[in-house]
Amino acid sequence: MVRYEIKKLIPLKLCLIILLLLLLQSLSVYIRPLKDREYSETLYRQFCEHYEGIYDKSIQELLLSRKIWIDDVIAKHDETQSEYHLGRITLKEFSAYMDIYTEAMAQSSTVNYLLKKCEYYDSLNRPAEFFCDTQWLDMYENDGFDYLLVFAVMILCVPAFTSEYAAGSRTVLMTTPGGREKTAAAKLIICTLTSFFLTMLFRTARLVPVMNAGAMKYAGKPAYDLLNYPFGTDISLIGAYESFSVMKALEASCMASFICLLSVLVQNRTFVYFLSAVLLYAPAMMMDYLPDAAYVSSSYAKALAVTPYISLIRVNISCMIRIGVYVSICIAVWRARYVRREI
Amino acid sequence: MELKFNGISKSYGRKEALKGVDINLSEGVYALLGPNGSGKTTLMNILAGVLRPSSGDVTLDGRDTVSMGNDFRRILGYLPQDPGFYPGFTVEELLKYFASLKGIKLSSGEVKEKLDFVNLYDERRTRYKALSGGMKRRLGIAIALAGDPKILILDEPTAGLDPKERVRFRNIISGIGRDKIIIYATHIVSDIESIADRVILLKKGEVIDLSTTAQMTASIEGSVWSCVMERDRAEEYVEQNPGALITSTGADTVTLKIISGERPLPDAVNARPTLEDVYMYHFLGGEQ
Ligand SMILES: Nc1ncnc2c1ncn2[C@@H]1O[C@H](COP(=O)(O)OP(=O)(O)OP(=O)(O)O)[C@@H](O)[C@H]1O
Ligand SMILES: [Mg+2]
Repeated sequence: MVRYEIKKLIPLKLCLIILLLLLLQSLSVYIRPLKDREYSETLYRQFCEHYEGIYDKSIQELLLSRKIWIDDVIAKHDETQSEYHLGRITLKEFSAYMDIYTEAMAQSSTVNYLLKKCEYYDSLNRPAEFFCDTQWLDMYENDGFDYLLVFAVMILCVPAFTSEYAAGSRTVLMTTPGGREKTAAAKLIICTLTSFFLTMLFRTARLVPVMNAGAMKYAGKPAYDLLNYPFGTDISLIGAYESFSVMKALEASCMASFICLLSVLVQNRTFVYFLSAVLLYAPAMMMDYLPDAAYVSSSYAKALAVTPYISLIRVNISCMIRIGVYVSICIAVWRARYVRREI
Repeated sequence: MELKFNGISKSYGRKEALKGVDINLSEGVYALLGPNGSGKTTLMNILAGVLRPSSGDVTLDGRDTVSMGNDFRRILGYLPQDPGFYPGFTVEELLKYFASLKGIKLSSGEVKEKLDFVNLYDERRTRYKALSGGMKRRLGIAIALAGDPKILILDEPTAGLDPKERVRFRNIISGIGRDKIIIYATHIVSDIESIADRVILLKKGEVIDLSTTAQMTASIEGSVWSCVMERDRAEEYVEQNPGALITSTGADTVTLKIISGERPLPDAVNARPTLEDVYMYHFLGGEQ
C-alpha cells in the first residue's frame, strides 16, 4: 500500500525540484548576511586564535590593560590635534600619532566585545574555552525560518490528498475497504516521514559547507561557550545544532500533517497552496514579537536565540500532540466527507 | 441476493436530482437508461456509498448497505464515469493496486487471467495516460471486477467507444458470471439490446419503468407509426412534431416514424416498436 502511495506522490519531477532546493539551501550559507558587526572580524579572529584554549583571568587582565591603552590614546586625540594646529608638534609626530589612533579605534570595539565575552565566561562559574566562534555564531544567528524547506514540504504534501479529489479517484477509493483509513494513513505516514527526513537533509546541506570552511574544528566545543546563548546543559555545538534540527524536523512533520488536514477540508489544490502559504509563512513574520509562538510552530524559532525562553522537550511534545490531532481529524474527514462535485 | 432502494431522494441545494427511487434488483444485468442529467450517476454514487442520499436507504438482503461498511465494499465493484486513475501507473500496477485495496494480492498468473479477459495483457506495461479511450474503459472494468464482486456498477462504460469497442464491451459483460447484480448506466439505446436483462428507465430523477426490453417494447405497442410522404412535407412535419423522426429516404419520398398515442396521419400504419422507440416515447416529448 505504502509503495503505491509513494509512487503516486513522489514522481521524478518532484525529486528534481527538491534536489534543486537542497542545492540552493547549501549555497545559501555563502550569501553572507549584510548586517554590521559591532567588532572587527579580522581582529577578533586574530585574538581568538592567539588565545585559543581554556579561558582564565589572565586573558581578561590583558584585555583590560589593552583597553586602558586604547582609552588613553583616544583621549589624547583632541589635545594632539590642537597641539599640531598650534605648531607644537611636527607633521611627522602628528601622523605617527594618527596611525596609533586609527589602530586604537579599530581595536576598541573588538576589545569591548571580548571583555563582554570574558564577563560572560566569569558568570558561567565553570571552565569555558576561548575559540574562534564566528562561524558558529553566524550559523545560529541566521537559523530562523526556513522558507525553502517549508516550500519543499508544501510541494510534497499538497498533492497527496488534493490530487485524489481533483482527478476523482477518491470516488473509487471510497468504494474499497482499503481506500479509506488505510490509504489516508499511508499518505500521512509518507508525508510526515518524508518531511522529517527532508528537513534533516536540508539541515545537513546547510551544515556541510560551514563545517568544511573550518567550523568542524570547534564542533565538539560546549555550546555554552557561545556568547549570548546560555544553554544550561553540557551539549556540544554540533549537538545543539542536531537537537534543533530534530525539533525543526518534527515541526516539518507537523506542518505536513497540517497541510494534509487542510487538503481534506478544502479539497481544492490552489486554495490549499494559498492557505498553507498564508498559515505557515505568516506566523514566521510575527515570531519576533511572540517568542512563545515557538510552542505553536517551532520551525520559526530562531535556534539558540529561543532557548532561554522555551524548552526543547516541551516543543517536541507539543509537536507530537499536534501531529496526532491533525492526523486523526484528517483521516476522519477523508473518510466521512461525501463526494462534493461529480460531473 | 436482493438489492432494494427504499425511497432514495437526493437534492443538490434546490435541485432535486433523485425523487424517491423505489426499486428491487436481483441477480442479472440491468441497464440504467436516461438522458444527461437524469440522475444516473447520482443513483450509482448513492448505491456505492460515496454519496449520502437526502433521504431513503439501500438494503442488501435486508441489511443497510451503509452500516454494512466494509462488508458491503468487499462485494462491490464500481467504475465511475470518470475514474481518474493515476496517469503514471501502468496497466498492471493499477490492477494490482486496486486489488490490494480490496485486500487481494494478485499473482502474476491472476494478473494475466484478468487482463486477458479484457484483452489488455499485451498492454500491461503501458502507462494509463498512453491508453486509448476504449482500453481505459476495459481496464476500468477489469479493476472493478477485481476481487470478484457480487455487485458491479459501471457508469457509462461505453461512452465515447467506437462500434468495435462496443462489441468488445458486450462480449465482456456476457462473459461475466450471472451470479452478480450488474448495473451499467448509459444513454445509448444500442448498448442495451442483447446485453441487459432488464432496463431501468430514469427520467428527471424518477424511475419510470423497470422491466425487460420485451416488456418495454410491448408496453408502447400501438404508439409507433410509420408513414411515407414527400420530403418537403416530411421536413415540415418533423419540425412541428418532436415525436417524429425521418428513418429512411427514397428518391423523393421519405419514411417517417411517429411516436403518438393515436393515429397521427390518415395514411400512417402501426409499426413494431424497438427500444429506440421506447426511448423516444419517453424522452422526446412523444408521450401523451
Ligand atoms: N454536485 C452537484 N451539485 C449540484 N448539482 C448536481 C451535482 N451533481 C449532479 N447535479 C445535478 O443533478 C442532476 C443529475 O446529475 P447526474 O450526474 O446524476 O446525471 P447523469 O444522469 O449521470 O447525467 P450524465 O448522463 O450527463 O452523466 C443533474 O441535473 C446535475 O446537474
Ligand atoms: Mg453520469
